[in-house]
Amino acid sequence: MRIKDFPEEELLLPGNAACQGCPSSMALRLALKALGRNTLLAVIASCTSVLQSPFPATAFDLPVLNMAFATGGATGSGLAAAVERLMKKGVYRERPTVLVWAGDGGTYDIGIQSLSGAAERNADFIYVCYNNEAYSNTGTQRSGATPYAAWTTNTVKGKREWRKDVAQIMVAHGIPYVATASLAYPTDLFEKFTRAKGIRGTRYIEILAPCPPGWKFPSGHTVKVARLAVQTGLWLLYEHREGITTYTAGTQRIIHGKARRLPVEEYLKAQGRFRHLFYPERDEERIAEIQRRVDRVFETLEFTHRLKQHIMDIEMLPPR
Amino acid sequence: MNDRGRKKGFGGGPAGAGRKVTEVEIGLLTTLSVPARGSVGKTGSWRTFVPVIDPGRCTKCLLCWVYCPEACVSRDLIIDLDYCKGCGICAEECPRDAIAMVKEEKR
Repeated sequence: MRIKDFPEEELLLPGNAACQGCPSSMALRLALKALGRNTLLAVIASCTSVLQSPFPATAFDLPVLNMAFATGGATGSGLAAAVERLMKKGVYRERPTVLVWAGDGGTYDIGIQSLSGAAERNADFIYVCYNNEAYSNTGTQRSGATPYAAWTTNTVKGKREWRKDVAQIMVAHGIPYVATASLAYPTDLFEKFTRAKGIRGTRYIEILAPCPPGWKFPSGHTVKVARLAVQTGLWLLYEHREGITTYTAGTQRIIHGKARRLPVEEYLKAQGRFRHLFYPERDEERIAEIQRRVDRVFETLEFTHRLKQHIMDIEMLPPR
Repeated sequence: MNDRGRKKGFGGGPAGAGRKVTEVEIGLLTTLSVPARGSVGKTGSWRTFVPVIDPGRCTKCLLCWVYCPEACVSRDLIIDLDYCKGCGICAEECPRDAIAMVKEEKR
């Protein structure tokens, strides 16, 4: 898939209430390009509820259901059941895709039990978590997705805990499709959504969404910060299907040794929320701690890749 | 959705069966919102810097079209200045530096 082949149709209309350089509207626009008009969108309380704009106008040119914070999985299951019934009655000519769009607060903290329940029932919908690593809509409070040492209004000296990994929790549920995506790799994101559309069952896609006001960087740097997250190894791009995890785009290039992994410092320096690590004096300990974590993850990934290559060389297995 | 789904309708009431529903009716009589450009007005007034494309340097790679969070850049690379919020992502991401952010005089 090339950028030139992306469909021209816009389902997210200009003149909406999103901030300048909003990652959520950018991600939703690309996702809807991939899924097409035949989509039922359920928006869980987040910035996306706001950027639809006030009544009587809306910026979304497709059916939207606004739901409460904890109901991501339940809404998806309900819509999927309704679609199933209406398909049997012959109301739809073509099966619509059910898309649940939630932020990291509605996924990591408040919505995880309904999401877990829906994943266990393997209800037929795509769940997207656009992860801006804080409750940005209410003024940047800490969430379960906030990374170590990041500033939020209630972790002023930097968060003391590490973030949890809900994508891996969803992998553990054994659902048909789990993927992580980044705004800086639009073709990769587009392909993941197209692939998810072709699968039935619960599909989970997580998109890293660098939020200019919440992460404190200029609004033009949204894509740059998203790219740095992948290039420094703090955000892994992969998809998990039929029990096999495949690393894609930037992360794959690093693991295969085709690109150099940048030091985490470059990613941290690009954002104001990590400023206390560099000013008034450098906090070597915490920067090194973050770097060590990433190094450990990539050591394992690179080792696994080399091992696989080695076994393939010996046994002449066909590449998978 | 085919006609059968539409006739039954979610709004019910005055938006009733079979009749063509106008936008005004939906806006005033039911709680359904109508999709519209500029749903919070001309967001172009938010901007301080305006993107200017230099056609001589542009290679039509369409990266600015893909990355624009507002869907303000068209496929023909014309920027809709009524709604462009001036975030500067297009200028930052342009691989040929063909887009400059120029300080705008207040209108």
